Amino acid sequence: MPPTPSPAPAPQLQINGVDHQSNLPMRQEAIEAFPFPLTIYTCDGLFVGANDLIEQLFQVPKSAVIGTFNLLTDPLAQDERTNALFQAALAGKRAQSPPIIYDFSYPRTRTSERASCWIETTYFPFSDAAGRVTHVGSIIQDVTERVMAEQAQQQRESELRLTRFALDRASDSFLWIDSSSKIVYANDKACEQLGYTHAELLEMRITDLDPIVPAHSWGAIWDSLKRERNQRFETVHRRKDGADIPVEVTSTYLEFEGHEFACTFSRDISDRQRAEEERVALQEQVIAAQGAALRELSTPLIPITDAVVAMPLIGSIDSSRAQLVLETLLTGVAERQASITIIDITGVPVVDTQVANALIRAAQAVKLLGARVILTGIRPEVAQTLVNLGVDLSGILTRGTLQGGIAEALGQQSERSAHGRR
Amino acid sequence: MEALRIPILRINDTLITSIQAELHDASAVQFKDDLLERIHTTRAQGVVIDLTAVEVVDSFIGRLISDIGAMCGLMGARVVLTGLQPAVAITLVELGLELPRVYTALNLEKGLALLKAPPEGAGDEQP
Repeated sequence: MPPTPSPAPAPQLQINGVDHQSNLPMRQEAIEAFPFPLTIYTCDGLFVGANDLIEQLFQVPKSAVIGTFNLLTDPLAQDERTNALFQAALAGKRAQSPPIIYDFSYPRTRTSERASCWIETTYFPFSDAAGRVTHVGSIIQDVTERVMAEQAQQQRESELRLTRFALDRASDSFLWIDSSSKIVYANDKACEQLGYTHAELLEMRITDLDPIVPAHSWGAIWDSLKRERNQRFETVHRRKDGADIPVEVTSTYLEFEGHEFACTFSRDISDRQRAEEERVALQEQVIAAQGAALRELSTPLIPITDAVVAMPLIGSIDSSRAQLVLETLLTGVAERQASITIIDITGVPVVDTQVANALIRAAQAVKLLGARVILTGIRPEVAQTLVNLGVDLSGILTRGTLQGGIAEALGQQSERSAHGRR
Repeated sequence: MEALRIPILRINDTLITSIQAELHDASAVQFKDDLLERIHTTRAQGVVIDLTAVEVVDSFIGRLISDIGAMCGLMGARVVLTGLQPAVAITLVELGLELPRVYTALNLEKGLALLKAPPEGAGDEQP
């Protein structure tokens, strides 16, 4: 129905022979003067009177509903609560409904920008001189703003409770600290991590927890946080039982309602540190193992008989490898009680004075232990080089090939054992 | 304080001594004097000095060991050093002490065998 300007209320409101218009318990002027939207029903629920505020509220012309709308029988208005309230009014009491939502998509309507509004309806009785209830009035108040405000407030409170709940159960410890370093809030995790109760923590200062930061330096720390707004660092927190735990702290400077706070998350990183240390230790082990393997590869000592060992050297020999050769050779001889060692240099590409001296020193040291060295694998060009360099190898028994060296060593062995038996 | 004396044992014409403690200068000199005196009184033909327990030597002790070899040689006794540790051998070689006048053996048993029948070329060529 188009919202045409409402004509003046029809005076001839006669239904079933009753002139409802003239029977109204209030004069129309009084109804219009009423400061709230007001409707008047007969005891049967028939809508018989209203003021203009009703039109404004519901955006429906009065004439469209007066005498036709029945609160108690209209299928759309029908509900048990309204019935009960209406019956209470009929019994002579005042009855107020809770805020209910009024939907403007209601069939008879209209042009409001609002899709719905919240209304609160108070039903009350009109009585005649004899005290009988003749009509029921209802004052309708638009409480949309109040309901919205309440809902918003509830929403905020619920969100706040959720925030607090989430903070209390966060997996990181969380502290609010004021500008004087006092702790003003601590979550459950902080209490658990530090071993204090809530009440104890709220009596403490953050500097009591941190054994690294002296209390007098708080001012400087606060100033730098205030300047940078956000800081992340690693430090140590001391538990109530005296144990220190390494923590990663994320601190944020906040100003809220005129107060300054530092909001501080701290995470226990002992596990991470332990993992890191383990990783480093493992890496060192791997490096050490590789080093040992390389050393073994670079100076292999091969037993040939109980009394004879051989060390074939392959690749160039520098001073550190020469030292290694010396150590491995002597240790091997001492451990195995080997009386003859064969050093084979077939695989050594260049033999210069340095290498020759290293070999001579090795031979001398082995001799001090009571064993002998046979140097094998001297290739023609090596022999030439040694003679040209004037290296004196006269103290060392030499053979051209490893095979010759082994034969010599075994020969000496059998000769000596024969000698020993004699 | 009197330096700890190192015991010297005699079996037939061989003297056997084992150095068990770290050698200090004073006790080493005392040992040299004692050993030469015992060679003189017993007319020993051979001396075995076991150095298995000696982990470290310095230049003084190294020189002294070398000297003992030469002195005993002059008195007609052959000296065999046994059980030198690798670290000691390296030190001696690095100090340039090649001990030309002493024999060496891997252990006491081989040392005694060496004194009984020195094979050609064992130890060193020239004593």
